[in-house]
Amino acid sequence: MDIKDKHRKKLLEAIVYFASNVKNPTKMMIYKMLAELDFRHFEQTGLSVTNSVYVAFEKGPVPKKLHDEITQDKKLVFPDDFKEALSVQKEEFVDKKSGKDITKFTILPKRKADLSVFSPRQKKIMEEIAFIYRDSFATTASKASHEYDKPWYKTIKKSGLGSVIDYLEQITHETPVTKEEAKELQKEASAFKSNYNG
Amino acid sequence: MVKAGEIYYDPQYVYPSGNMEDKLLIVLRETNSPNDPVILLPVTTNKGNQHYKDGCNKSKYIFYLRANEDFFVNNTIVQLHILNGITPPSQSNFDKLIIRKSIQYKGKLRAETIYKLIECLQSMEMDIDSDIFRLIFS
Repeated sequence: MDIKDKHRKKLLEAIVYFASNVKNPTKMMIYKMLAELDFRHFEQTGLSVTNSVYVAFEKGPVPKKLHDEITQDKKLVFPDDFKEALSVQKEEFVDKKSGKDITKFTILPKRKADLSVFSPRQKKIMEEIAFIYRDSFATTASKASHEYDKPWYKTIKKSGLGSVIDYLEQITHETPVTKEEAKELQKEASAFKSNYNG
Repeated sequence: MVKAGEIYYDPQYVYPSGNMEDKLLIVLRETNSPNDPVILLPVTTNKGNQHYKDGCNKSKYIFYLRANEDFFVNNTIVQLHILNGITPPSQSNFDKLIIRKSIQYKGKLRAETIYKLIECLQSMEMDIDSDIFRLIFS
């Protein structure tokens, strides 16, 4: 299925890439890596990669639209345009420590990622993230993602669990654009996309 | 078919807020068939009078043209960041948009300006989607 929306195409290819390059590509792990990609790129440029909106959940950042789209009761179902590239493996077990029932979704790639949709900077960031999380489990990744300077940590502190994580919080003195400029970039990019995409 | 440097006027450019404004767009490369992608760069007037150097401001994703330096009568920002995350319309889809949105041809940039603009984009390879970069420079 041909995906016309470039941000959605990037979202799919980033998931395929991460699922192919880490040992434990669980749903939460993939969410964390997507958030790392978007927020690191935003810090460096003032633009996100996949245009996803993230909310701060207890276990880390969650891409709201994707999560709502693939979560059906206790199942994970990919939308039609993602099915040619991804499949899912479900595992249910009881956690020995807590005694709680756990459902684990592992995301599996069906093909290689098409990296031509990304810029060289985006590819470089993806490689760095895959390297960092290559051998991690979701729990250790979760700890990493809760570091005090991460935007989702700041969001929980400031606005509470379930709040939208503000990309602008990621702007530092090293970001080449100001908060105002980043807002303008976002506004103009959305407008152009809705007028001239595909 | 469109040619590099041509400038089009879109009187029905819609913003996410629902506001409709007019917009000038620059064509970046020529097309030779209805399936060829039309790569467009929108421009905006520097209303805030922010300071930019003339020409390429690559870290800001801007190519800056001073008033009357070329076609534009106001200080003008060419918005390069839109090349990051867009699927360009084909020539045939652009033709449909021309009719639907009453888009008009307005003029053409000087060859020297087009050259500088292309040179600027070449220096921004790190931040342009590889498939789009290939389209521009193939």
